[in-house]
Amino acid sequence: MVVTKSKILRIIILLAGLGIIVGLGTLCMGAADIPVYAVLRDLFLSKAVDPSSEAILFEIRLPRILMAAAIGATLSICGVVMQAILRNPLAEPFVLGLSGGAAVGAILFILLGISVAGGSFLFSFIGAMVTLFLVLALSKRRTGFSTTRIILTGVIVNAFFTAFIMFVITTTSDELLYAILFWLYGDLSGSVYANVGILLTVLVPGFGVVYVFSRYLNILGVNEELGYQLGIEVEKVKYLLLIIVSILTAFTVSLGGIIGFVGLIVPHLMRMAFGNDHRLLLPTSALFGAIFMMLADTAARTIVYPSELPVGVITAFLGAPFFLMLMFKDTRGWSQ
Amino acid sequence: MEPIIKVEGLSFAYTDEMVLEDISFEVVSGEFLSVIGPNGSGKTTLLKLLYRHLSPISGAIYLNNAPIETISRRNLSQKIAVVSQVSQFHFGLTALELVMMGRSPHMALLAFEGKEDFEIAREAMALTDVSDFKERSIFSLSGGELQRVVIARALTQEPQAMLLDEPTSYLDIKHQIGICQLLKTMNKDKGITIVAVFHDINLASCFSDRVMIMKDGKIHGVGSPEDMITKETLESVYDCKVFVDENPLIGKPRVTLVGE
Repeated sequence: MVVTKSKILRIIILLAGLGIIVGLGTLCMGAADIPVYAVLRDLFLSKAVDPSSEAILFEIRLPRILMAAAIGATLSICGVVMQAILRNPLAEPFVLGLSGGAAVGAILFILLGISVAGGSFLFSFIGAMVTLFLVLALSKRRTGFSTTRIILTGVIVNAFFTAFIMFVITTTSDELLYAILFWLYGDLSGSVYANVGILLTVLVPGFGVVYVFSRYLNILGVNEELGYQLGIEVEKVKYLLLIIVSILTAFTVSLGGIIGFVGLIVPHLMRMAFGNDHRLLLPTSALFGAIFMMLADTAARTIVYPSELPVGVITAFLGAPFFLMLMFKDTRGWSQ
Repeated sequence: MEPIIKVEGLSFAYTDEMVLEDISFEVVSGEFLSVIGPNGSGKTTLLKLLYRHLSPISGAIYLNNAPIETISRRNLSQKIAVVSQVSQFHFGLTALELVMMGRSPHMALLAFEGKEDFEIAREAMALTDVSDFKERSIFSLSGGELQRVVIARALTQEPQAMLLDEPTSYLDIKHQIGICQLLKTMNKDKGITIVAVFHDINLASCFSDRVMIMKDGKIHGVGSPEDMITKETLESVYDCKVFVDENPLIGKPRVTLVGE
């Protein structure tokens, strides 16, 4: 079926509704037993509320849930675009080696023990951006970017960074090691509204630009040759979208660590459910990515209470079996 | 007749070696021009230059008397449709979804396909006889079916001219004839100019108004099938023995390969 505006709108409203329900549900879940309903009711009626309950709900849980949702949405969109542009089902937001670059930046920050506000964010962001331009520069040829070269370069650059990370891990003291490992597998504790704001200010315009090219992504995902034949400035569109997606990814890594799997499986799940038209695929992936991450992060902070799991562990735990199950039933995703 | 495409002194090289050298010719509006020649003679490269996938080192190409580099890519794809040699598909699409992509050059960035677009696609699919499997995945189609779907996509672009690179390779004889007849119908009924690269000289002979022969990046000759498809020409261009006589049914030159 070719998608229509009304179909897209219907599915978006449905998923957005589901997202709100999941958001409210996860707000109620947590280590501290808080009568969420009573707190919300009292707030709504402008009555006095227990300040510690209010603090837990609105200073700890809510910003973290919003952060999870924003990161889930961002990574999923990035995954969709990477898969289409690189025409590779294994493509995900970190395929250009951004995760490795960001990790090296963050680890340097942790090791050097610099105390600057937002320092880990800045260091990992710089690491990711340096990697992006390194990979693009290395994979550029006279005739433009070859997608195979981009993927290969990304993999190689990432392998190099991974070696560096392993070296650091095996030679570091225990407390620092814990900080590094937790960051590596994704950590959303300590999320604050300001960071959510930062991510949203890049996510919203980034999504807007990507969505403008959604119909082109349909064509480029089929094959690049078809893009030229149907009047697309293939090189320009590819370059623009790669950069936007990489910047978005760099922001999520810097704010939440390396959260794997979301950007890979959410797009595939949405392809299986709704087909490959990016006008539908992009918004559904964003919404479902948000839902998926809210659930994963809630599991991460509740399952092993009073301790906490890195959310990346949960995304893989939840995602892998679910994904395999659906893949066997798949009829409309990638090449059969 | 006005030329729809005019090529002047065109040269191209991928690396240091010239692939095309100083090529000049015209495509007359409404004609069926076949391009033949040995492997590596530059036929595919020439097509890619015509739709600006590649840029020439020197020389110029005009479409309706305008240099093509002054025409936006989108505008160009409204006038020229391309059916390339190998179509590799990465996403699971239905035949209709692929055909509808042909409307892309006529749509704004954020637009959705309207009634008229569907009507144009439906007509194209009827003409290429692929209406029956519009909801089928392109992965499930046979080579001949897929080629017809790809041609329906090109038709859906409503082009003035269509460039085809070996549209009949990999097809059995029934489908070879079927595709060529379809091209001829589009050429006659819709006035679409056809430029098609063929390996099968007999197909080129049967269906085209003019035949252009290429060798080593140069044009060996352009003219009517009767003038171009001769024993002398083919033997010198292809460097192998052939036998040429007249097809008794249609009166066009007929080539028979000669084994030793």
